[in-house]
Amino acid sequence: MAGKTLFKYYYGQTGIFIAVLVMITLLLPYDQFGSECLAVIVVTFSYVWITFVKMRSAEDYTFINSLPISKMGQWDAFAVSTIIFIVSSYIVIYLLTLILHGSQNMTFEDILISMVTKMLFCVLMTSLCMLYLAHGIPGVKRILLTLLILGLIYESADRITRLTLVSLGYKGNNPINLIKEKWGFLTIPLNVLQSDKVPNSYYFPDFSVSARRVDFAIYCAVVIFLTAAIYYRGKKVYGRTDLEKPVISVVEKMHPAFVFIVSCIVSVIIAMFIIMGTENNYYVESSTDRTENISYYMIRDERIDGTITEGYYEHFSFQVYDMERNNKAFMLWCTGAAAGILTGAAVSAAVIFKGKGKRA
Amino acid sequence: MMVDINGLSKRYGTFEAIHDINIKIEKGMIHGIIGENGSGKTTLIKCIAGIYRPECGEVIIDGENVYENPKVKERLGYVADNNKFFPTYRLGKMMEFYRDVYKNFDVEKFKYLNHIFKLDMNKRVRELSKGQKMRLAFMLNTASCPDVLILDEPTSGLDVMAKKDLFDALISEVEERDLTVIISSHNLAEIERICDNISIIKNGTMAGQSDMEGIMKMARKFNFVFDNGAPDGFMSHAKLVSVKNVGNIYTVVFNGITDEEVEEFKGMQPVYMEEISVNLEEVFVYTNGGDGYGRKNTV
Repeated sequence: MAGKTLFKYYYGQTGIFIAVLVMITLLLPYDQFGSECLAVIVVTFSYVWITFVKMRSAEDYTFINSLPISKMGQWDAFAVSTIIFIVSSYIVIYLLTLILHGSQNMTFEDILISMVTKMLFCVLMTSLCMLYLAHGIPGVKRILLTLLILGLIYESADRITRLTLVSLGYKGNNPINLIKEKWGFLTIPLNVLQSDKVPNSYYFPDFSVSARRVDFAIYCAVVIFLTAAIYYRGKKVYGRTDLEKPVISVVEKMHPAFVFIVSCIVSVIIAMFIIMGTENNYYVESSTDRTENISYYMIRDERIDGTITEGYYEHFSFQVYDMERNNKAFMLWCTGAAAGILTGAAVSAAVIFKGKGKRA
Repeated sequence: MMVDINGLSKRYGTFEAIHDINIKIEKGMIHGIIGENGSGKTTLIKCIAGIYRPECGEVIIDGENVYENPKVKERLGYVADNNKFFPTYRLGKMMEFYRDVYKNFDVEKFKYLNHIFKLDMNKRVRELSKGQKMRLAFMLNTASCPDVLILDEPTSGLDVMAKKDLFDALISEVEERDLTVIISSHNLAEIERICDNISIIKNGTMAGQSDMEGIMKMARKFNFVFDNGAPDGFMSHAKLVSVKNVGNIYTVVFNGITDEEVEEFKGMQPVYMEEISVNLEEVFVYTNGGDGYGRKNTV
């Protein structure tokens, strides 16, 4: 009962984050139910981080721990509120996208599966991060191990889910292309298979790009988030950290507003570098076979690793393609900027609260 | 409900905030904890409230360890020196939160206390002043009907009337419900007035612990009159912590001196000798400043 009451408080705090999410969705150009998820992830991490920092501030720590709720109960309340927040966020963002942009060639089934899959990954990632925050020990090795585990779990879950869907008869994509989309830049021989000119399914016209963008954005967010978390924990709990000490001593003397701005800029640059560095280039050419009187389109996909694949389509939505092409750069900057600003806010919150934390 | 603190030690990194604290508090008693700033009072209080996990020792309430024990904490009330609660909550909602968390919460008692302390239930917590937050903390924790109420600097930020109301309400709770109270305060006059027992914390260790009568004997003040000045051995007495000398009159304070030792002074043949009553504040000053402070100020 007491834990449920605390959950109500934590969940009550998510309203402002949902509002931020809605604003981002309204401001960002449409991206086929893909990159919007980045906003959910960043907002989720911001929520977790800010709530966590608040939880550790001296007054909040004292108040919450004076209540008849065990530490595990407190974490449960926090975790459940975060999970429900994530689920609510995805529902809100998908509904909003549907209302604003329609289904855009995606079936209801596609949308539902896309939403549930991403939702599950986000819940999983956040749960692991919270577990880390609750029980973690600072140290470079620990950071690397955590990142590796998170990455492996994410990739494995993604592969397993999508391959399972395909094996169950889901027509959205096929296993070979799924592998090529994700691992093509590592497994060159698999790319050869694409020379048969079998096009990727058009139900997810830019799914590989979106998925990869989300992947790396998650990584980016996780790296920044965990680094900040470890810095905070290291300093507050143990009075030391494995991170470079001179850097920490400089950061400590800075004004929170300055740290906020610097964090934003650095986060945006990192996000841009990572996201844009993984982008593919797409070209489209239209031709007409006058004998058959059939128009078809060739799409050439130039990947960042230099591999080029071509797909031929009888039907092609210029509307989608143009929007994708024209908005890509802007969208990337917007999502990166949103990620940067929110991460900056989280980092500056950590700096503001850092002097107040005291741990039992 | 008996509170039993055994060998309690708490460390922040390498700094040991409290070391080997032992206190026993009987049901229905008001136990005061006093000490200088930074002596470890708040750390001790937070360990007793089950907020901090001690490195050594334990806090046992009615036979059960308090740390990570919601069952025991449900019967504890804790009023912090700086109460934050949930800043965005309105007071009415904060009361509902406590009502849901503490099963013994008495809404009628809360209303009655608010009749005394007069807080606007529609205000948000963040809109309250420090004193108002303290009133709210006291109201919420008293209305939770705890068996043990822990108060850390409860008069901090309160005006004179609110202080009086708070202590009146506290004493009436003790009388009516046999409430056990642990209170830390710098307001020693109030502590002296309401407490049955006192613990003095100095540099994280127990400097003294007794009932009020015993505590008052920790530092004893005398007036001596010597015809030809203080004899040898008087000014260098090991337990002497303060001397004020005007003419032949010596006003002296001894720390922890026994009746037998007082009798020995009669052998020094003072013209006049009398014991002067001290208050808790003086006991506190001499107990804490005895390691040189008093002697340095010897006139």
